Amino acid sequence: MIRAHHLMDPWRDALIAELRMRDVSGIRIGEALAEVDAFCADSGQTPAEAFGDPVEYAKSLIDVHNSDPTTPTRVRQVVRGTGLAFATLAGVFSLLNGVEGLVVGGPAEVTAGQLTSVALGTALFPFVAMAIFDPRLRQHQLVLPGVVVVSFLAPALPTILWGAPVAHLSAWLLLIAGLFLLAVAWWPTASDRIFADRIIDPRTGTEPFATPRLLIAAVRWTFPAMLLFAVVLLLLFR
Amino acid sequence: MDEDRWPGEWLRGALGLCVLGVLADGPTYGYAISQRLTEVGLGTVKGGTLYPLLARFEKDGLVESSWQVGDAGPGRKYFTLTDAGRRELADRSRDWDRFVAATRRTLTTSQETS
Repeated sequence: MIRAHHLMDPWRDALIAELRMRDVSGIRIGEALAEVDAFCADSGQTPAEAFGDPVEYAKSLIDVHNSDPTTPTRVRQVVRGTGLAFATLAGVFSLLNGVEGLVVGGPAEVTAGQLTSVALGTALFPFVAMAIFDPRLRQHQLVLPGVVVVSFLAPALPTILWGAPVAHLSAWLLLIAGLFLLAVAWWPTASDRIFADRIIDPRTGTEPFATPRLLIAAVRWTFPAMLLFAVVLLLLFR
Repeated sequence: MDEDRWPGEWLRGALGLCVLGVLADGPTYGYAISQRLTEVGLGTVKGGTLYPLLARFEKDGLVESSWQVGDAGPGRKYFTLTDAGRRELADRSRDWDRFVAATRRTLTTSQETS
């Protein structure tokens, strides 16, 4: 059985992360982990001693299993992620503007800051993805916290600082557009796609890294709950 | 020369053939292959070198694998040479013999002329 200490083992975590980010299937990842376990149990070596750097080892496995090495998996992921970033940002602003317009009983106002926030947040996504994907950048301790801070500040600041209206649109139109965009952005989480490709131990057929139901529910519902909270605040204090 | 310090490019050229050769003796698992290669003098072959090579052979249909539960420990993945693997081993062995013979002739000639 794949050892339970995986979750506390940086080498195995790094191998899983690198293989996941390169679209390797959960079954193949389970196979690789079981091979590492078996070889280390026989040799008495640590994974680092027997298999070297986990990121480099992951690359050597990908070279074997990726039948078409030129397949731009990473490019597809970044393009898809950038689209979702746009749908999320544009959806949030559309929804909140639409609700606000309905509350005050007039057209919804779109500000220059909001448009800048959507453009900036969307444009920044490829760089955020690059910082997360690149193993050399990930090794620096400040990169991931920096990425989180920039990801929140870049879309928030223009909206806060630049309230000049640039357009007045139908509140219902913005509300419906916002709901549609948010549904698109939420679909990968809601449809179970991100939890579907599970890591399976080939020796037992079991799932050593079963995601707790509570965590799945938290990941799935946090975003809608935050939106609902924002809408309620808007209704209460506008 | 210390057998643990063979030039990397020599090992890269010969390792695949040697792994197929070890598997020709019968089904076996990763660490046993590594040990066998050490015994015959090829030095230490790490898991990080061996498993991608075995995976490539499996993808090319030269070997098959199956997990077998051990008495103790986490179980082992056994690799078995297929018929295609045996043909590949025979072909590559013949080529390797010719390559070694050509290399030896070159070296003998150069030693005689120097």
